[in-house]
Amino acid sequence: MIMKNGLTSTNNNKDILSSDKIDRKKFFLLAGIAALGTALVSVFPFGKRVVNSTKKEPIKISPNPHAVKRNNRQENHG
Amino acid sequence: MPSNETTDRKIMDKKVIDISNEIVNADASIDASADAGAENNTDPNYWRSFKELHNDPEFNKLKAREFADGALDRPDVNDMSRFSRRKFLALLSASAAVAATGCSNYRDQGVLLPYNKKPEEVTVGNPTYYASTCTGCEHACGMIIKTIEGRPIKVDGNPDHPISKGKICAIGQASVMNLYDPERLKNPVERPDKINSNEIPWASADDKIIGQLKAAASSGKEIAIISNTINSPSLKKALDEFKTAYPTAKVYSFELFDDSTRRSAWEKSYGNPNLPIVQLDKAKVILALESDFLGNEGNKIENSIMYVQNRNAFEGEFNRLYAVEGNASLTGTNADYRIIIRTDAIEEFVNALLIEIIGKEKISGFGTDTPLLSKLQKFGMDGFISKYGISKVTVDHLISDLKKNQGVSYVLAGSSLPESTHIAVNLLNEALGNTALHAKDQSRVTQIPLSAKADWDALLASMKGGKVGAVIHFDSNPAFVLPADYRYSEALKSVPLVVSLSEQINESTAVSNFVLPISSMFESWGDYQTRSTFYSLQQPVIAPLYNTRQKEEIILVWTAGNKDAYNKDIYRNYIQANWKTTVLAAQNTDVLFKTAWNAGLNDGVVKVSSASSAGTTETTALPQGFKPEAFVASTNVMTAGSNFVLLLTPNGNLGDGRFANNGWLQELPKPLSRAVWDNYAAISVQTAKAMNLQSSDLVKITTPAGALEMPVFIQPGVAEGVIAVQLGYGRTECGIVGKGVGFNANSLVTKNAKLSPWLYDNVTMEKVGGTHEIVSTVEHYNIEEPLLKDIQFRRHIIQEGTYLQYKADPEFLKKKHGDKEYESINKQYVHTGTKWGMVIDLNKCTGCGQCVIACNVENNIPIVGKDQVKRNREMQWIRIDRYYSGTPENPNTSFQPMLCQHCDFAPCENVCPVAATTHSTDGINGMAYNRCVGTRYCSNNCPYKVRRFNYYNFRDRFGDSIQQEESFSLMANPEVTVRSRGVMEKCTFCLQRIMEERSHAIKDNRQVIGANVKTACQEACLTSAIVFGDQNAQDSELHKLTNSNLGYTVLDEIKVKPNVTYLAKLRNVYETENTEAKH
Amino acid sequence: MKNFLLDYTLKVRLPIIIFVVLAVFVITYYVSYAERNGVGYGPVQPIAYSHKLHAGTMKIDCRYCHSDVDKSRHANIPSASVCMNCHTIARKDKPEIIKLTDYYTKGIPIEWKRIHRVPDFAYFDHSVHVNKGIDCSNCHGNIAEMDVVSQVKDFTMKACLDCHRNPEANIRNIVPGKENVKINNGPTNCGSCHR
Repeated sequence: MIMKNGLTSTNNNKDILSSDKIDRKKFFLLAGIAALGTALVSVFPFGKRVVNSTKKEPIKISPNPHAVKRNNRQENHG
Repeated sequence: MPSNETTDRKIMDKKVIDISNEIVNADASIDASADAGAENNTDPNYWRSFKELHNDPEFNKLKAREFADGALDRPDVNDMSRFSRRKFLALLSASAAVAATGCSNYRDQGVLLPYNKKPEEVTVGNPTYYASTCTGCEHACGMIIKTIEGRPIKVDGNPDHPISKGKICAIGQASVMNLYDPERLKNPVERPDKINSNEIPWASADDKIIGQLKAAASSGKEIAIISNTINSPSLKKALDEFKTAYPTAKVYSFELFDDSTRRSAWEKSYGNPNLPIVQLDKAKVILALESDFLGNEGNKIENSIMYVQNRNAFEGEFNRLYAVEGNASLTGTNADYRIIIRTDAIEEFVNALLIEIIGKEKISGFGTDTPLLSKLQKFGMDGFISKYGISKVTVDHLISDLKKNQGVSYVLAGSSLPESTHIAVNLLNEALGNTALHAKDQSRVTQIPLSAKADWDALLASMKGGKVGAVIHFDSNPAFVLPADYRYSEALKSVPLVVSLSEQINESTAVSNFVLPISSMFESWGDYQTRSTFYSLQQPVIAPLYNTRQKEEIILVWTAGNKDAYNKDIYRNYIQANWKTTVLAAQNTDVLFKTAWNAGLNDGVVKVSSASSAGTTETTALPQGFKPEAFVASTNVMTAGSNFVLLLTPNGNLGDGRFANNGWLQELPKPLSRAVWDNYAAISVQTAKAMNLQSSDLVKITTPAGALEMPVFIQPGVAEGVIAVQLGYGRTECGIVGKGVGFNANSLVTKNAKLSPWLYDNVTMEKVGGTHEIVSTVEHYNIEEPLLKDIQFRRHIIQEGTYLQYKADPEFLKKKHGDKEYESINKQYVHTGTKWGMVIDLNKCTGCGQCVIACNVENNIPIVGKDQVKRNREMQWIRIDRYYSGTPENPNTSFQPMLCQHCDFAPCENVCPVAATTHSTDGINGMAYNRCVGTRYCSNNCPYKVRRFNYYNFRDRFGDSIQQEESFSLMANPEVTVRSRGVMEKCTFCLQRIMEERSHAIKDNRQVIGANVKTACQEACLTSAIVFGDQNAQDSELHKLTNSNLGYTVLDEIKVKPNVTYLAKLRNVYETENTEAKH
Repeated sequence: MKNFLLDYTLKVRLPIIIFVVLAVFVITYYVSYAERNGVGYGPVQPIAYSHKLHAGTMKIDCRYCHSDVDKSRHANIPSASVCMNCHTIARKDKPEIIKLTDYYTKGIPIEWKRIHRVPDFAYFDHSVHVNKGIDCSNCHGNIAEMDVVSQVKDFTMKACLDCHRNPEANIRNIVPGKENVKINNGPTNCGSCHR
């Protein structure tokens, strides 16, 4: 038993050329919506809007300005 | 075959309708007849609609039929949506996929964030080094901190420090983990009812506390500041100023282990308590009486460096170390001769020695001192030897050595021995003229002496009597450390204000009103003086990570009496002001001072002449007049009993317990037992047999102070009747890593100890049921088990000789073991150019384990936890193998650090299915973690079993993933990959350091110089036993040592050609053959 | 009927499907190879800095800004203070320079989009390459001609090894001043990059 639905057609006993085609208007409508959606999602930054309230403040590292550094290379320069 | 389904259905439907029509007709007739007889029926006529009332025939038909019109119709396909469920789902998933790919830019490589204003001296990617001082214990060793992009990641010793000479102990090495511990206290906290905590700002805390302090001072109540050793002149000055501002303030200081018995003995013997500095590097004979000077006693760095000066097989003469002890200590196992007697018999031994030396051998003039001799009359060495069953030969050697080396030998008595024993030892050293080894050009400096017992008794009495208004825990933990019978926490309840200044939570913060977080040693300024010849400086390399302040800063603010007195440079300015008048007083202009100050910070150490060391309380006091009457007068002579003797020892890793939350230190195996994560009661083999105890069995130990249930551990080499327990475990208020680890033996310590606070005789021990498993990194097998007995000698893993044997014939080792020339199946690759190799001198290795910690820090080794160590899954790349030989009661111990041998014919490389481990042209067996799939065939093949596999992502698994916290990720060395689950890892010969040297060599357009590369383990080794470098560099030390006549490789008969050479251990004994244990 | 279906599926549809899938995969793999390995990636940067102007027209040496390239593993992006060496005065009224000055005065680091990236398990060291005289353009292309920097060479291990095994053929430009440094074959053992 083969169910018929709108977008495909079974051509088992019929000629290939004379099938029920998909409604062209519907196709272009769907394709256009898909393209629009893709474009919208790639342009619009949805991720940034999510509020991240549980995120902890990262630990700030700052060296001490009064520390005196040391040259530790005790190497032999050959 | 498509059937005409619709037609079939229509036929069936029609049949149903026909049947229901029949039923209707039949019903209708029944109904009609029923209605006919309705007039005779008295029941009312129920009707629901007009059609029913009027008996509409159509309606009657409908009534009988179950399904209304159209109910049985099949749906018309053409009326349905063209969009099926399948299509919908397909479209949905396709569009989601498209959207997802459209969302992310797969080519994105992240961002690069440069400095906004780069400091001139920073080179991105290269580390910056700073000199500072370590405050892990009271010795204040110098350290060099390696930072990268502002974060400290590694600590090593400061070569300019005259005492530690470029070395630092395990606590110092692991201290970076304390800095980045996520469980550090981050904000000041008020605990009004000592139960709940509220975070408050510093200003508010300062205000409240200053108010209460002022109130306490004005009402005459004492303010007690309780601290550990104060060895900072500037801090002392600040505390003096505090005492001026609050006249009722008193400073108390304590340590879990101190030299109190030794000092009081010295005072009685010499008239002052200033202990000298003993130059052990000039000693030819050392006698250690229960003195673990290489392990836990005194400044072990200084001691190890001095001791090993005379342990060089290729130059100079070996010294000889005798150890007389009841516990099996690190020093004892390194000793050439070891005499095992119970600790409380040691004084008898000393007295027996004294009568031999002074009485019989007539050494020194004390022989004419009649009261002295009469006191010694009842002792005799022969009697002692037969009473305790020790070897007469050994004792004879000892006496003759002491006699021959007068003035160049030394007798060290352990800190746990009672005062009377110390006095006897002082007499012995005087008699032998060993005081010549006391340093004449430098002395110890004490800023504030530790509080005496009388002070503590007075304080506790005042606390209980309500006379103490405030107690300040100044980065100390008296609630945990003080002897239990002080009942310190109880007494605190009567004190209205208890403030704790601490980095982490501990037992004292748990009973405080205010808990103030203090900065770690990497974030603090400081100056320290422990010797008369130099000062050391401490500088912060990083701004405080959290909202913490230095403890000195807090005191300064309270002295000023005003919360606004604080600024972030307050203590630095204070130290500078202090130094302008004391240490650098000679630099009398601003420019000169600044130059000298910066030079001091650069070096970490400022040398001063003894005369100008100001700001100290006690200066030079070399032993002038020895008072023999002290010996005569000492009455409390320790005699051996028949009950158990309990010896409480320091543990080398956790301090007094303050580093319990440091997982690296907890996982560092103890030198002899190789146990981790616990302490235990070490008992002798004989005791275990007599009481039918196994290791991990629980026993109850009772002393006059209290009782404790804890597991035992059978430790070969412990004297019969001795129980040895390490203190510093059993923390209850601690972070997640250290909480509940081990057993708190502080409950066994009493303030009124008869002998010493760490030595108790008349102790009972009884077996209680149950076990607490002690996990060790080695197998516990009976060392007499035939298959395994002396396996280290049968397989030539450990090759030993005696010093005299070596002197007689330097080639003895090669002759003994022969140079077996087995035919190799592999073709030897000739390494031209650099060939990396390592030499480990077993004469110098004491088995201390600092190398393990250094490797952990350098290579981002994770902590795995006790349960995984039980399964042999500890991740340390270098381990110390400990072998016993001889009898279990009196074994010889051999230590051998074992790491990846980087074999030329490595059996691991051949079997990797994905070629993740390969050999480089310069002799390194490398590991590419990204290729490894976790077959573990390489580890299977390794004859040395040095490969470690990440069975889990241990960072995620251990301790609630504490190692995944953000602050720990700052600790990682960026030059070493952080490994995850499923990859094999092992020692890489610090390849990152080799590549760093290669980079410098290319920059300078020269060849790579092997001696410039120092592996982490080499840098950390206190005795410089590990040497690393280029085997092909003909003039290098490494080349010389590798090809020396003491060098051997482990398991050389399997011809894998390891690149790690061991130098055989020579025991300096009189016997020329090193066969059995020396007794 | 059944036999026909199975036959048809196996003989016609299955091979067609397999062929289509394989062909698509292979073509995609090779066509996208360069792009997947980063070639051609030239993102928009927060400040429209032009190498063509600075390194090309004005002939500023690469190492003036990327100063640590011969001292450390990383070729550092210059900090804003380096830019301000000139741009406190030079063209300080132009919009991009105003953006730059804004970053500098506010102390905010400029978030440059990273282009060239070797994976984290490979530890690439710039200084050894530069100190051997290998000029930046050998790997990064003719930066002096790029207004917007994009990646021109794929940073795959194969590309690195090709040069390590045959440096003479692959090195086109030498760092000025390092002409006399002898370049041997580069190390090819795993540990030299993967440690």
